[in-house]
Amino acid sequence: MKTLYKIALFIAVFSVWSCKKDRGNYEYTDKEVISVKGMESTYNILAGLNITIDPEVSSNKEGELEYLWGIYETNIGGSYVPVMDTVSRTKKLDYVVNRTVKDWFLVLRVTNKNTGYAKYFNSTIKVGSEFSRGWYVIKTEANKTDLDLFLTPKNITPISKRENVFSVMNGKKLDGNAMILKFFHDYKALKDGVYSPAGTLTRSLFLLSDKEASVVDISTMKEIHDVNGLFFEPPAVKSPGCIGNDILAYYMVNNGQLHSITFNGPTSGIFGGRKLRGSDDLPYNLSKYHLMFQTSTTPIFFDETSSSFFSASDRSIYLTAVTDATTPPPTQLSANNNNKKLLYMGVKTPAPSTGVAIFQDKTTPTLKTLATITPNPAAFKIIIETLNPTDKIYNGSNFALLYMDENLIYFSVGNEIWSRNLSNKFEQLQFTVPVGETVTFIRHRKYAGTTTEAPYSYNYVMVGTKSGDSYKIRMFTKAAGNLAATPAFILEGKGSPADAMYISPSIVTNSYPSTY
Amino acid sequence: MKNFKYILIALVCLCTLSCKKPDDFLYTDTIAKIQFGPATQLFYRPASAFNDSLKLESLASLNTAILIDTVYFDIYTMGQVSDQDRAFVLKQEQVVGGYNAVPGVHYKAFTDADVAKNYVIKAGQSHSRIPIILLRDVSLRTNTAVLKFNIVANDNFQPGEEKLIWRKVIFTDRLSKPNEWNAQAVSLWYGKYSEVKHRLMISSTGQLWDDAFLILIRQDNQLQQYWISKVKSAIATYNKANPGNPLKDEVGDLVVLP
Repeated sequence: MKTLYKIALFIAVFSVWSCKKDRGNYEYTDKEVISVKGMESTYNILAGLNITIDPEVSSNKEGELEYLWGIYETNIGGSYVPVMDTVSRTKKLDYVVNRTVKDWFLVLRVTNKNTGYAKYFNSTIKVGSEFSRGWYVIKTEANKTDLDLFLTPKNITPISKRENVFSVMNGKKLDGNAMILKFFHDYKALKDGVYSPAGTLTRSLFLLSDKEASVVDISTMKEIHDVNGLFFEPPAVKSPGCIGNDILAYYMVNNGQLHSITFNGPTSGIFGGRKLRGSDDLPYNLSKYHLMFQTSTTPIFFDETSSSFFSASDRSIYLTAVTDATTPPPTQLSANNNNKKLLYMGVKTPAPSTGVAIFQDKTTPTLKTLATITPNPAAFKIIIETLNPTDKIYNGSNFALLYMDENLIYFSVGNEIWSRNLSNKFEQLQFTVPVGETVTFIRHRKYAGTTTEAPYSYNYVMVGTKSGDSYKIRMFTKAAGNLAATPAFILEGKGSPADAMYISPSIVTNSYPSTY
Repeated sequence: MKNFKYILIALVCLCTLSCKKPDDFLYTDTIAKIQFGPATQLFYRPASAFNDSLKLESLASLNTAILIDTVYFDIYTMGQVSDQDRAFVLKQEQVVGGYNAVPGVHYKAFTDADVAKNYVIKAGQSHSRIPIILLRDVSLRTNTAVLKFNIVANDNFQPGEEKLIWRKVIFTDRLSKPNEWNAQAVSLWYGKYSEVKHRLMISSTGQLWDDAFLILIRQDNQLQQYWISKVKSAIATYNKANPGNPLKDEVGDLVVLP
């Protein structure tokens, strides 16, 4: 009995701690809702200009509202954590955007001082400069390459022009004839001596001529690297072929040799060592035509020396041989040692990855084939169609695929612009360039902007011509793959154009495919 | 218990006999003493008193045209400074079981006039950095030499503390694996370490491929890739120039990088 008393005493003592105060929330009133009107999801503004936002703010609860506006940067790399700066504590924001040219997050915090409840509202501020929006044209004048910029303050149609912006800002032109443009929003330039991704990513434009290359900061048009600075040792032969990216890396071909930069890990934005063709370091000479897909990790290159396709990876210093597809229907042309010369190759669709190529036989040059490529390195499939000399495309040049659009390829024959339906071989004259003009390039580009970028949406087949020392680039819309009778507008300037690209703060690396 | 007492008393007595009066370094000594020490910036840090007793030197990372290398040691005097230059004397000590350096072959003899002139404490000084001139003899390609030397008394100096009157240099023209050539580096970038590979990396790039270099290039993926590409190309070039006889390392394995 004595033991029972002791146990009872213990239970009684511990019971003191077993009580728990009920702190449950039994308030059944509505939750507080703070709402904001008049704050856009995106604002485009030039650096240094004023932004004014006076939102309508309301709450379903009584109480004085308190406001805080903050801004912090986006598009950063690695583990760097951006810091938000407070820019205003009033409801109406009246702020001079003294920020660098890139995207920033604008944050409005509204706090009910009575209830203590706070809610955040976000917008993106796309800070631009006069260089961050417009049509860029890479062109050749007297064997020198430069850029023209066509300004588009209101919509995709330009209203004015700034000539030779590259040389004006950098005091030099590139040697050689213009080839192509490529834009990256995430180029990892060495910033203040710090390796990215510790530094921020740089919105950059690459200019390639057949003898030089340059990458510029699009916000300032100032050169980041010339062709020597793009490699760890100045290339003995400066002959850029192409630049592009897949999902993991940037790739650049110079003098037929492949180099890469990883998207992952620290890098100074300089291309790494020359990739080798096997451990024997066999000679190779990559074509400028390539297949790089934004959804894939296997870029495809064609070696003109061995007439073979290769893939590559930033992780490996070796080119990767590809294997022919054998599953039905098997490939109709081997991807290895096929004795072909590549006249053209381009990206048709990114998912599934497909490309189109035009080959010329090395032994029988009159033998030309049009090929559809499914570029799986483990099962490389080439479906060919022998071209008839009477086909317009047989003598075509300036080839351009409609990227992710109708199954057509455009090309020029003399001063005529033709299309060929890749499904049914139907060829159609689309446009005749006026006498005296020579076609210099055809390219299909498109961009679908939303909200404030909607006026800048476009889908054009661009036809560049030169006449004397002047150029014209006709921007054709199309319907069912056929060009409109007249272009939407024409870019005109001095020189011979090789490419045109629309750049805005909303354009990113993968807005345009890496393809000729 | 009684025996224990006697044993205890005997031990206490023995302890008194075990004491030995040290040789005092007296301020009244008329002759200065000299001994080695750490670098001057570490001189007043007791924990660094024995730094640099042993130095390891690899000649393999030097350009092949360089045939001598110099290793420096810090030496300090005790006692009054002098208004005259004071020479001191070093003497090699043979290390039992070691591949002892041979004067005139592996290092410039301490008595060589070109070298001996450096073994001097300048007037008004109490410190000097003394050079040991190592010679890149071909035998060092296959051997690791040891050079141990002591301070010996002369008219100017008596040796200082016993623990600080000697120094040792171990040197070779053989390469040794840098610490940064670790398991990760083996697996991802450089493959199995071998001296042949290491030497080829040095000769084909002009870089030392030592710890400092490996750390440097690892900061930038592309920089590392650039140098590896150079090495791989050099291996391919060698193999093409020697058909049927590809580059093999010291144990007969093919020299390859992942």
